Amino acid sequence: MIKMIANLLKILNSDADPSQISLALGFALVSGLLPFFSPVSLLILLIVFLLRVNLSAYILGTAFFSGVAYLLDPLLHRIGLAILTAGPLEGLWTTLYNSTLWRIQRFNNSVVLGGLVFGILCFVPLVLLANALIRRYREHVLAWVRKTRLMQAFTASKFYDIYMKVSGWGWGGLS
Amino acid sequence: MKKWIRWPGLIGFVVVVGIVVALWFIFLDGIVRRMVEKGGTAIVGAEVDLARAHVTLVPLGITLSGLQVTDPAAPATNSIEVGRIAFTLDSLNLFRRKVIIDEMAAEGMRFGTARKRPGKVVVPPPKPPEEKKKESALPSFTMPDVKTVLQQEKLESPELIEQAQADLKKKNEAWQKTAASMPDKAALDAYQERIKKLKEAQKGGLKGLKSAGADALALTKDLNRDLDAVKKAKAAFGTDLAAAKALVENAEKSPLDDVRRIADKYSISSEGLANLSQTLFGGNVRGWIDKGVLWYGRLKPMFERSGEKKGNVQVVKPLRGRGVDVRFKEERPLPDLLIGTVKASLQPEAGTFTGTIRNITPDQDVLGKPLTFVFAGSGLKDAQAANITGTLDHRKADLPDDSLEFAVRGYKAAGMTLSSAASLPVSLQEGTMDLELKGRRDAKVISARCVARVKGAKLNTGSDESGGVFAKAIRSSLAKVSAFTLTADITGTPDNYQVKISSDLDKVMKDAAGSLVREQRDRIEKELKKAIQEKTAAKLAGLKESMGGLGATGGKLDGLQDRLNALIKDAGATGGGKLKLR
Repeated sequence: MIKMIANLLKILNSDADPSQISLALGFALVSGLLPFFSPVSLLILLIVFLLRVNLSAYILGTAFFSGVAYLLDPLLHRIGLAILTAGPLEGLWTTLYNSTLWRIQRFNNSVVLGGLVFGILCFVPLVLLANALIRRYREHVLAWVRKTRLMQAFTASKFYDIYMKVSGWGWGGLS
Repeated sequence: MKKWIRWPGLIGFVVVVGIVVALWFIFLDGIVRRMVEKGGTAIVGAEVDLARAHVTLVPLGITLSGLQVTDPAAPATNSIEVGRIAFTLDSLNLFRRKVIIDEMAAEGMRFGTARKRPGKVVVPPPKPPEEKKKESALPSFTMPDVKTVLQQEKLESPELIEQAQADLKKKNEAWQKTAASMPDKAALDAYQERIKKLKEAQKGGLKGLKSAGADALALTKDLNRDLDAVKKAKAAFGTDLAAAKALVENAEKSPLDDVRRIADKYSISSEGLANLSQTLFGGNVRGWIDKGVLWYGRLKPMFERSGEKKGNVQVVKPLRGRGVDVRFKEERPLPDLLIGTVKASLQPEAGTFTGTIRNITPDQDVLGKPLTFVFAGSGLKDAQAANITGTLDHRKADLPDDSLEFAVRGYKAAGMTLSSAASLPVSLQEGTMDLELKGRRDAKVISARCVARVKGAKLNTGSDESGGVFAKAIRSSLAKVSAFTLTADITGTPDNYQVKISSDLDKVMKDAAGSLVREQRDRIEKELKKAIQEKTAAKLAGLKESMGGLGATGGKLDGLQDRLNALIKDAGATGGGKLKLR
């Protein structure tokens, strides 16, 4: 847990482009809401590796949104079931149901489809919101945070040692 | 654009996916083992353990070894244990999430084996309702002490007599009040005086006659008013008296009712004696049937999918996982799970059964075929022959049609418990049994008949000599039995069925114990009668006394009516022709 928080601070305080972090969080949202072994999850993983998005933010975000997905299960189930049983879409779903690729995706499960639709719908708003928040944080909060006594005490703590160690790993260097 | 793409990431992706796939392969056996344990536990409702799972990729096949399924009703034992299960999977259909197994081999199936440690029970089996428990509760065979019985039992008669007494007292008081409001001796004497005066007036010539006419009319009116009041009171009194008589009769009868009720409870009735086999063996037979029904319910998801129709699609709850699966029309319909043929070898204590189960699928409607099974015993050490055949037809979920036939010939039974009643345990120590079971179940009705014919029987009734002379008589009669037939008829609805046991042992037991039971019953009745009469005699005497009081009030009303009628007659004789005689 301490390492996770240290990672988050590191990402936020790093020089990485805010859009790289926010995009990573957007992809993390979709990945977190979907089963790990599914074609869409693999596609997102490929995109995350190919695009210059912050990998640390993606991994942290995926872990976070996977937890959120369990809490959102009832909502995702409702959304998915409503879409799957919508009369006008029946033809589309029947076609997809007869396609092996989509069956592997398990789109006909209410929670899976609900998660996919919810993730896609929230993708753009989340990216924009995260982008704006990170920029504001860096402009207004970061300098103040660094000057606070609490932060100064923090930098002298064991926690900070861990933070420094993580900083040296350079696994966010791909970003 | 170049700023946003990092081509080395492709290598990273391949490496990450490669690592994940490699790890998946390494741990695949463990994953499958865990899936079988978790899925099995969810279906059965009790811990399922698997010693080992082995997955081969080309051809795609799975071998499971050492499968143990905990018995939910007895967690220290396995309901079923399978030595080895092997099958190959249709890999192409697996990508479409269709588990299609053409043939599965299940070897070394055994039932009721002991576990190293008790298994966890996730869904406990339902407890039998009270009335079912009562079936196996034997009546007490020992003669109870009447004093103790009377301390334990609440007598209804004293309370009933007291209540009757109170009611009678109220009635008595009310009628005494009514009688007091009726014309008393003085009023009657006054009437007599007026009549006398009228008669004298008639002798006084024309003038006297004129005034006598008006007086006669007034007298008639007064007499008729009083007579009407008395008649009304008498009618009401008649109803009350009848009610009071019924009350007293009931109260007088109540001590005997108490005697009968308590005697019925503490001694064996003739009905109970006529069907002792139901009492003795009903509990155990019911237990076997309940166990079968429980397993039928737990395994139902394997041959019937509970789904909900929404428009043209079907919404079904997956066996594992979150949410629901919505099923659409398929171009080439296939069940989601299908095990075409299972070749199984069962190894119960009796020997080895081999058989075939066909079409295991929760989607019988899609497959268009019911589940069937055929097992036959071969080379059995304890039986000449054994056959089990059955069909579970759930192609139409709302019209299921299941049938089962089971026949065993020449089964050498040993140590088979027929009754676990503490006061009279009965087991078949040795004997040769022919067993036949035919049953059918549809959506509304369940009906089955099981007949067991035993020859060369040696029944063991335990070494415990408790239970008194009655149990002793039964024990000695059962010890002489060498052949008997036991029939169990199961009828009712699938949710509420009755098991009726009948046997020729009933006659044997009745003959042996009939006179003892009658003697015991007479004795307990006699003692109860004496004891209860002692408690109620005084109260009953008081009640009769009150009844006498009420009768006296009735007598008074009768006398009053007679007197009034006589007065009216008398007044009529005075020449008052307008007098209305009653």
